[in-house]
Amino acid sequence: MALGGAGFLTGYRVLELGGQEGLFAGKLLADLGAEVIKVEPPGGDPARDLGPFAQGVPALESSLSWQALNTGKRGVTLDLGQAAGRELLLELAATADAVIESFPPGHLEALGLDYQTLCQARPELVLVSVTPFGQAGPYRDFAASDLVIWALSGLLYICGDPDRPPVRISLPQSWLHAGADAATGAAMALFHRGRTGQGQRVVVSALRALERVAYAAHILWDARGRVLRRQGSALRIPPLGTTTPLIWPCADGFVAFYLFGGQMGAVSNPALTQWMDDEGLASPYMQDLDWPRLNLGATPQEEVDQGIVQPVAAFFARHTQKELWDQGVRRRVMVYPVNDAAGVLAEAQLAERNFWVRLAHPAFDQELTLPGPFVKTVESLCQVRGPAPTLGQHNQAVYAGLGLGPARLAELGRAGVI
Amino acid sequence: MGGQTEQGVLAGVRMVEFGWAVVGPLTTSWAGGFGAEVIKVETKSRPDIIRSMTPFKDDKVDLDNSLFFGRENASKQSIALNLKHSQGRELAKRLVAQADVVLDSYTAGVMANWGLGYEDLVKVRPDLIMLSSCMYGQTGALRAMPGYGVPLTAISGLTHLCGWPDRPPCGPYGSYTDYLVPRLNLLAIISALDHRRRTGQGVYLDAAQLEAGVQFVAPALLGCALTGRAAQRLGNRDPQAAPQGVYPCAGQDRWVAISVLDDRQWKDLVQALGSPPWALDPELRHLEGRLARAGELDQRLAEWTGPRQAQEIMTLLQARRVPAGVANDGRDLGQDPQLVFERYYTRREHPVMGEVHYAAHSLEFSASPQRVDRSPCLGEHTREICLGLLGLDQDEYQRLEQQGVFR
Repeated sequence: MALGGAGFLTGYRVLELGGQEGLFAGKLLADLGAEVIKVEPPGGDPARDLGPFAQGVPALESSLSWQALNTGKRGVTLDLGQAAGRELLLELAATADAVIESFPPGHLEALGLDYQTLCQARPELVLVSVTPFGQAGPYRDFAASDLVIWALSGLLYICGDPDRPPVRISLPQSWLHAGADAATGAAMALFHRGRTGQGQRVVVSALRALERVAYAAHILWDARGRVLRRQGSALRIPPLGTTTPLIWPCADGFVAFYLFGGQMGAVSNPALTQWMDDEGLASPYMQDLDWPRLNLGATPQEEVDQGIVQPVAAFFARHTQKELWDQGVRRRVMVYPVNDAAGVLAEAQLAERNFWVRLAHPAFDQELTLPGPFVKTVESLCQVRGPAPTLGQHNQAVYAGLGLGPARLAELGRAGVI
Repeated sequence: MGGQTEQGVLAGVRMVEFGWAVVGPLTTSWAGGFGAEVIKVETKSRPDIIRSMTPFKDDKVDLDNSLFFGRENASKQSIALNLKHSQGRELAKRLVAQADVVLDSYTAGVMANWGLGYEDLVKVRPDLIMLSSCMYGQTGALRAMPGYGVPLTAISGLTHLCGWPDRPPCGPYGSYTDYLVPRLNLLAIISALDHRRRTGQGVYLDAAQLEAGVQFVAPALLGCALTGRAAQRLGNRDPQAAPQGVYPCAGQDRWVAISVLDDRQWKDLVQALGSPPWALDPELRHLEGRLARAGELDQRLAEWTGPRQAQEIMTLLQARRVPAGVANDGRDLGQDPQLVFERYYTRREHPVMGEVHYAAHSLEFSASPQRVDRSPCLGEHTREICLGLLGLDQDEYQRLEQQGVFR
């Protein structure tokens, strides 16, 4: 795959300051063609310490989160703790269209780099702040983690097996939801600026971003006065509360399959019955069922268990994930693999669409395999444009663009500013 | 940096949505909240599936009474066009001719079968931006494979990572990817709008939901490709935080999440606990020591949290800047001090549901406020759009109505 070429946002320069909350935003804008400059402290960004690590060993260039979430960016070092560093940042800001920052609220102001000051350097600058809880309110200064955001958003409460504590996904997610929104905020504000000449401040809250994922929790209480509880990998349907599995064991792992009633199940369920019948495993109950008229919630649990769930479970247990998935596609039965990372990497559809990007990186002796663009166009206006920057990789190029000569750069280097 | 204006950031942008379930409708609903004029094309004979999904207000099953539909369809209008009818398709095209963006979230090929594919629509609107968001993309062997969010979460690698190491995966609640895909869809649409503003060119966007979903496990994919080892679910543990977990509190099924991300936070947590002897062990001052004894720490913390209120623990620990948060349930969300402060939920009067809450998007703009309006009833704006935007006269409208174009 050729890297480079025009993108949707070609011509924009975006500075990215702060921690892990903003990484995905910058990466997405870079995929879309913006020139994104990740500004790191001279010792390296704190996000370089995020696991998992290549070979399990933390090192400056070995964070896989860093490598995955900084593709296509340019990287410079700059110490904002020093006056000379802050001056240089304002010079950089003067050349930028947008700044994405994820410092704790008030940090930029404390540095003397508040929005107004930044706008003096670059009128109509777009400033996007992405933090756990926004910029104001009772939680403004709360300490956060991905797990804490899950908890407060309402999402955690509804995830997990009923007999254990609520549980999250074992890879941070909240910064990704918020980061995607932050990228959208930057693009919207730039679009708006292009039409009106007006820049503005954009605030993103990870708490709010994750609340959307917990969709049913709030509406169920608001309208029905009922608290939604975690059900594990099963779905419980009123009025009888009949419960059917979403995740089923198969011969070598798990598959996801949901027994929709009514129209939703009208395609998959008869096709599955036929498939089971071909192997002599369809129950008489399934064979006789008028599937489009099946109302799961109104059918007693015992009847559903004996008539459908047990025979289906026995059928799935006989087959591998791949057999079920391949045959399922052929028969239009929506039985899907519960993939681990290896399963995702092996998905034929992704290979067929030439999705994966392989990048050489100086710190790795093998190529890095990364997800390709999140959206495709004939013109490849969105694409992964290169590996994550090494520490200070683009100092020379970027600072030279501000008119700083080699002598001045060396001086700033000695002073620990860059 | 200007003052507040009443105009949304997307004012003047018109979107036509051929969407169903969550991904398509939520993408445009957010755009509507930011000021775009969104017109959802539905049919009464085959309504958007989530209109018939629970929960319903007061349990009354009705196409206009689904809270689920309402939550994902705020800030838009609804026109009932029967796309199986040639006149219905003709009106849809006339709508597109006056639109900036078309969003389609049907399985690949459905729009083209109606004569409403990109190739057809670009003829009536040469600088059209059209985004098609199906499960697997518009090309490849799986292009026409149907699906929905729950299994897509599984195939994307997310379900496998949610649950306990000693048990089968439980997966996150519901259709998780349905709530990450619209974020990326909206980003693509806005980027395309700005690209069109600068170049005059429209574009067709092939947005495969699978290709969006796997972005959210990228570090695990990179790691597996390098080492051949796939990441496993860890419950609530984290190799870089200990203790970290969800601990029981006073009350029925009440929990608090606590994370100790560094040694400073551990020191402050110990103080908050009242410096009990077990916690003063020097081995625990460093992450490695705490990770090695994570099980024991979880037990100790659970003993401490057990009799206390979740809210009280959060306040106590946050006062020392230790990450802690109540596991809010559906009731708590409406009273959460931060969400209340931000007026995150907007109460709107709906003609069928009565007063209901609508959630906002996570973004706020200083100069162009978000405005969340209520969700439409099925076909609520058919007449208005036909007589207005589409320029039909009364007689034509009535004739088409009799022909079943709006059913």
